[in-house]
Amino acid sequence: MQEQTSTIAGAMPRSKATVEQRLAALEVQLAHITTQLDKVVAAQKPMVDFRQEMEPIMREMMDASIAHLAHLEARGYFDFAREMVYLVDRIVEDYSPEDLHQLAEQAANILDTVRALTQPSVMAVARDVAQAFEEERHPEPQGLWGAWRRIRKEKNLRRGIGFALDLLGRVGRAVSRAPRFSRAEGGKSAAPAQLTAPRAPSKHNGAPAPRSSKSPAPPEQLVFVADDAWSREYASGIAASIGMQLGDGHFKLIEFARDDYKKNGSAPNIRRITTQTGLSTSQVYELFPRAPGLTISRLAGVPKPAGCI
Amino acid sequence: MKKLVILGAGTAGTMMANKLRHHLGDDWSITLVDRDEDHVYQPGLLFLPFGIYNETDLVRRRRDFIPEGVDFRVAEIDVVRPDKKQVVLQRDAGVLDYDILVVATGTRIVPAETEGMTGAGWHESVFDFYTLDGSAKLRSALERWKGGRLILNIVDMPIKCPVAPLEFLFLADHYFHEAGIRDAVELVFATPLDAAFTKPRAAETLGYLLEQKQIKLETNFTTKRVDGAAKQLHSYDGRALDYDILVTIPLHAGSEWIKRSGIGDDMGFLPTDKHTLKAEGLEDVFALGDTTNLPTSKAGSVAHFQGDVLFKNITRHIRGLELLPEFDGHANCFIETGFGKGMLIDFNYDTEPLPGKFPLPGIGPFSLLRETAINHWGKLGFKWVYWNMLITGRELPLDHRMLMAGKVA
Repeated sequence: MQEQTSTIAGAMPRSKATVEQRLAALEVQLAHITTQLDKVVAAQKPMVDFRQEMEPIMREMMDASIAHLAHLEARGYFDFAREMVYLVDRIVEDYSPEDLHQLAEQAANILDTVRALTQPSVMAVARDVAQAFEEERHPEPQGLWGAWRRIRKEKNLRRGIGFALDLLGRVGRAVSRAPRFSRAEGGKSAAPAQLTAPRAPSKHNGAPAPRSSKSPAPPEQLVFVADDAWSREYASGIAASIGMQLGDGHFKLIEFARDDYKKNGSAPNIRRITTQTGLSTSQVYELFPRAPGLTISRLAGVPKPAGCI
Repeated sequence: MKKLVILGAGTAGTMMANKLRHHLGDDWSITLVDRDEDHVYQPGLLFLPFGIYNETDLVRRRRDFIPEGVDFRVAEIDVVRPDKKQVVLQRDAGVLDYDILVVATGTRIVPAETEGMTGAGWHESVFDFYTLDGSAKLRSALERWKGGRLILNIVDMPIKCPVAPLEFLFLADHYFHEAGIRDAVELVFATPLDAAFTKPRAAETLGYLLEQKQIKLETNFTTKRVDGAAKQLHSYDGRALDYDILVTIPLHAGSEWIKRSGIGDDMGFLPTDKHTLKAEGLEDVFALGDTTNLPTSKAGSVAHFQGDVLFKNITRHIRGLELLPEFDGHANCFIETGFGKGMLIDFNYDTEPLPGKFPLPGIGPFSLLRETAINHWGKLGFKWVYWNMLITGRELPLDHRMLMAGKVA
């Protein structure tokens, strides 16, 4: 049709075409445009609809956002953020992008080092040292002779000197090697276990107890009992434990529920039990006075009637 | 010319008409039948009593969503004769022959099945909110209410949208707070099940809700009758509860024509293959949506996921290929919890609702089994998705299968 339009309207000289021909061409073109217009209007509709729909929602989102942001502001988040901006600003001014690049290259090493330095044993040493500074009585200045006397007397002092010498040896080795030590030497494989083990308890001690301990006991769940495990005796056994004696009337309902579950994948509701077995709801309640739907499911070895949550 | 007939122009039927019309060639005619012209956005019925939506927000013309090339008929269905492959319409509206029949006539409430329910006080102190009429009348009643005891009862499962009763109570708690009369209102939930939350993970994560919102619970409550004059609700095990307002979820049933045709189960639902969606024992008949007897939720999301599978299976059936057992019972539902928050659940036949993020793992934006404002906005925004994408059969970026990605098992 489009081809025809272009032939008539385009190729044919205006003067030679009759009025009818030109009208016909126009008509074809109009029809084409109308179809296109319809499509445009149809495509537009969802957008108009979307805007109308979104207006109240946007309003609500704004209200909630404002409330949330106000809360953050009250807690000082924004003041903090502004100071952070100043901090970043200082870093940007004093350091070059190359410095940052080098820092990133060493990130894993830095983290490894931090991890090693924050192991509990190291922290204990640091804490002890820090405490020494806080003690009121600072030791008197000591001469060489005094030091010698103390070394002879105090075993811990000798151990400390041994450790310090050992440390100095390591520093020497590190200096003599290449200035950059590689990550693989950091003993990465062993480190994570050391990291998580001592830290985990302290991290969780302060955390609120999981919600499950606060909420009520989980609802009883019943699972399907396979054919080779289910029998009338199975049902009678469970019935006895809840003080019930089962007769043929009970079994008619129990076996119906079991068959129905196997057929449809869900436990029958009371209505289905009554229509399919011919008993009235009152009769069902006479047989199973308490929660018949649940009780029948339990005895039939099928999942109980449930909602979606 | 081959004939495909779709019964029901609701969520499932309209969606199937759109999907199939765009796919099938001119050698297939498609006829869509419904009893009236109005398409009701059913998820919105929950909001109507609280004045969040009004009637005009929820009703549109069915024809606006039915594509060109689909013959839409407004008529009541009398019976379907599977042996003759015919649909007989009422009041001389004719007979429709079919090569393929898609059944999507949904479910309806049958309050008259419960003794006394539609007697004294019906739509004065006893209300349903599963119909436009019932929901609107409940709104006027709540607007005028000064307080007292409101009982919500479920007569029996299955019901449409099994979370709607809880959502109603959560929204009611919020509504009465706003109205300044929460202290004067007692909310009671009477359920035939043994708990408000019957699945372990949901019970664990949501157990706090009833306590937090001060909703009292009556479990294993099988409704026997309503005494509208005395304003009492009676159970089979002898319990009687006084109410000032009873919001009831009546018994649900399939369509009457299914019963008349003798092809349904005792409640008028159509026995359907759990995985292929072929009607059991009927040649060339398929079913989806609330009309089936499948052990999954009766919900629009289910119809949507079924739609993807059924579309594939109908096109395969036409080409003479075997049907794929792809439907897994997938359902996905927002749950309003009041005070501008909502929840989301995602589950199927085998997997109970689990916590996590949806649809993008770790990001969401929706959170599963957790109250967030984003979930609530999702629920409100879904109305647009429904009218413009879901029932028009457009592609949503969601898998029809339930995925474990993003869930915490």
